Amino acid sequence: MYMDAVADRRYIAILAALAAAILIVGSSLRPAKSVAVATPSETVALQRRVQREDLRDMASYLASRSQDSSRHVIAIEDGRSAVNFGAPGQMLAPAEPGNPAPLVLLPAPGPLPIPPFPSVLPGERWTVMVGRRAAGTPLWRAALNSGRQPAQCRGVEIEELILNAPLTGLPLGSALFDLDGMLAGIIADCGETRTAVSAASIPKLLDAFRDPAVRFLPLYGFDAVPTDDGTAALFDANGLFVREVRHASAAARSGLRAGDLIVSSRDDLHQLLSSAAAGTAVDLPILRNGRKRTVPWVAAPEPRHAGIKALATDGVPISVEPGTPAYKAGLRNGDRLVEVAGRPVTRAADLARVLGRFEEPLLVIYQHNDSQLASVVRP
Amino acid sequence: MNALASLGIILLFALLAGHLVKFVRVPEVTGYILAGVVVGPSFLGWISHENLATLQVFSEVALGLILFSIGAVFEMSKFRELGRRALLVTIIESLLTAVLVSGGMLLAGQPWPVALLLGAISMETAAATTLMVMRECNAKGALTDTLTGIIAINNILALTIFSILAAVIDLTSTGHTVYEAIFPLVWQIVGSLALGYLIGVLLSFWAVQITEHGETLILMSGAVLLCVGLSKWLDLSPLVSSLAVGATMVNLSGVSRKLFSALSRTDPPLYAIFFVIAGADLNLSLLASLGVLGMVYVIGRSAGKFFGSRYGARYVGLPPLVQRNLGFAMFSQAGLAIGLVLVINERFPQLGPIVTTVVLASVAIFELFGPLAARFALVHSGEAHEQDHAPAVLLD
Repeated sequence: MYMDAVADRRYIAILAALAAAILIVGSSLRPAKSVAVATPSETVALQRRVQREDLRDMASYLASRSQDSSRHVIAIEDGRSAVNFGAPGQMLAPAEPGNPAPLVLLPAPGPLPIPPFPSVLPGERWTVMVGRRAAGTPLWRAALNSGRQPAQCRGVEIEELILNAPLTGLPLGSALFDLDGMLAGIIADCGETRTAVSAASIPKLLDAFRDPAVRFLPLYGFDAVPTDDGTAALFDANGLFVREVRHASAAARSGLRAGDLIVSSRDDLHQLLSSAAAGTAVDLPILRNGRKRTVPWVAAPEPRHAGIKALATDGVPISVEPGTPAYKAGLRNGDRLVEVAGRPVTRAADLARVLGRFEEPLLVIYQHNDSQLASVVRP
Repeated sequence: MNALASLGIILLFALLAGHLVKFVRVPEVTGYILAGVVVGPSFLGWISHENLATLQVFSEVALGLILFSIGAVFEMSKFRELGRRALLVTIIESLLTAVLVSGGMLLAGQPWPVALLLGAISMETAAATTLMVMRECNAKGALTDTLTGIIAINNILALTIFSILAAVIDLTSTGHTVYEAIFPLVWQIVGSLALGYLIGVLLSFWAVQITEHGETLILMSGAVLLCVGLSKWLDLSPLVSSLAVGATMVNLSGVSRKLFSALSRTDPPLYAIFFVIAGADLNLSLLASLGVLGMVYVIGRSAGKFFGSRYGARYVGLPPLVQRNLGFAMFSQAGLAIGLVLVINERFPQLGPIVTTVVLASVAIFELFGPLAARFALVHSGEAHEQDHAPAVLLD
């Protein structure tokens, strides 16, 4: 009876069809899996936690990157720092005080743990600044590098990195690495302020201070070029041929003359004159008229001033010391300046500006006893 | 260690542990579980959590097979006498357990959703563990029959109550429509029964055409894999659908006995894997965090199960031997409870931590001592026939 009904094939078929229908309809009616809904405050709390975790991760990541990069950084004397750069066994370091160059290349103290790496142009990205004041734990700081801008470093056009963190507190010569461990720049002393010199500008900066033709003239007042075949044959020696000596410059006061041959390489000469600037007595070996001589280098340049002082802030009446270039040019006490080097002078501040760099002859127009006169004041 | 090597370790350790525990008269199941605890992440760590996740599929298949066998209890001709009593005993013991656990939780200061969910989970008695103890003891008799029926009904009842409760909690909390809350409840029961029926019909009619033992095995394995796999794919309950396959088959096919005995001769490796994995999954370190709530759960559930079955059996007039011993056989708790905890973590994450800690910690207790108690019950009722080593066949 009952069992027969259950086992009846038609009955089974109907049940099976019903079951199949239930499965098909039911599976199509299934609601999408509901996701637990968080309240707004929970969402905010979760977000904050995630963000805090992210920041913590980021800080530890930056620390590990700086730790990695610090293998390239060593401490040198005076609390400065140097970085593996360019060729194996070569360090890029800030120059010692008194050196006109901001950066110099030094031989590395020993073999470096890994070879140097190419410098790259930084884009907008994170950098770690890494320096060492002494052997041991490196000092580091992370900064966002948002680009580069043109800048001056001791008279040389360079690009500096725009960073959102100050450069103080880290040793001079601290290196900037991007997160791939590439050198992005170096902290250099560019005169008044510290500058993050872009890695792309480092070769240019090194070259600028290495080339005597560029640097000897403004620094010491002479221009010298390495001997070529012709001049070498003429002197029967190699060295630096002095092409020009500026009037009243250190070179002129030391007795160097155009046409002399300084028997030295330009790097050696550079070193020599740098040490002279630091106070060492230096003799330059030269050839003049086929004979060897030495020129005792007079390092300290005489204070150059025209000898004019303003007596009042307005109308610029002046006092002139006897014996000064201005006195020699005919200016006297009580004269009033009208124009200096083509610029009108009405206040004492103007005078300071035009006389501030008294290296070239100046045309001065002045009022002397009701008559307006012109005169050239020579350094 | 990779999944295959860990599988090998599982099987060999299960065999070793099974031999060892025979000396101390402890069920093999407990041996398997202990072996799992030893090689699992809790102790030796030879089997990692990743391995366990990979091997989870074996657990699911094994559970499907076990429930296949249990489904055979719904053989209409037998079940009409057995069924009414089993149903009543199940309702009495389950409700008493739920009331004791939920009441204890409420007294301990838990919010009502946590208390009621824990009550619903506590109702479940582990089908696989209990069945394996019966098989190992080669048990036959009134207690065995009653117990099998109770376990089958108990699991469906626990799942249904849990689903209703989940729907209620869904409705009272924000963000759920009535449809979203009610649908899983209806779908899990009706859909699973429909799927189980379809696969059962397929099996029954195909099995008649097959005479060879090997082919029978292929058919059974294919059916159980299809059943468990489709259930998971369709968000159905593999438990209900596997039971339904067994129930359909036993009622429709004259050769169902052949099928079940073919299964029971070849599935021991799967069961070994199942219980070792269950043991490896037990987190014994949670026992330390059992706490007041865990104690409430363990005591409430034990009391509810024991006295509920005892008085239930007396109420429906089962033989005295069954009355005295049934309570001891009901303690085991494992797979379904853990599965429900996973559901809670997914659907009610805010309730997850408390429920998870309490259930997983107490499962470690019940799963280790439940089989011992069940074996005690079977031996005391005189239904255990361990001395003959013929392959255990259920309800034969």
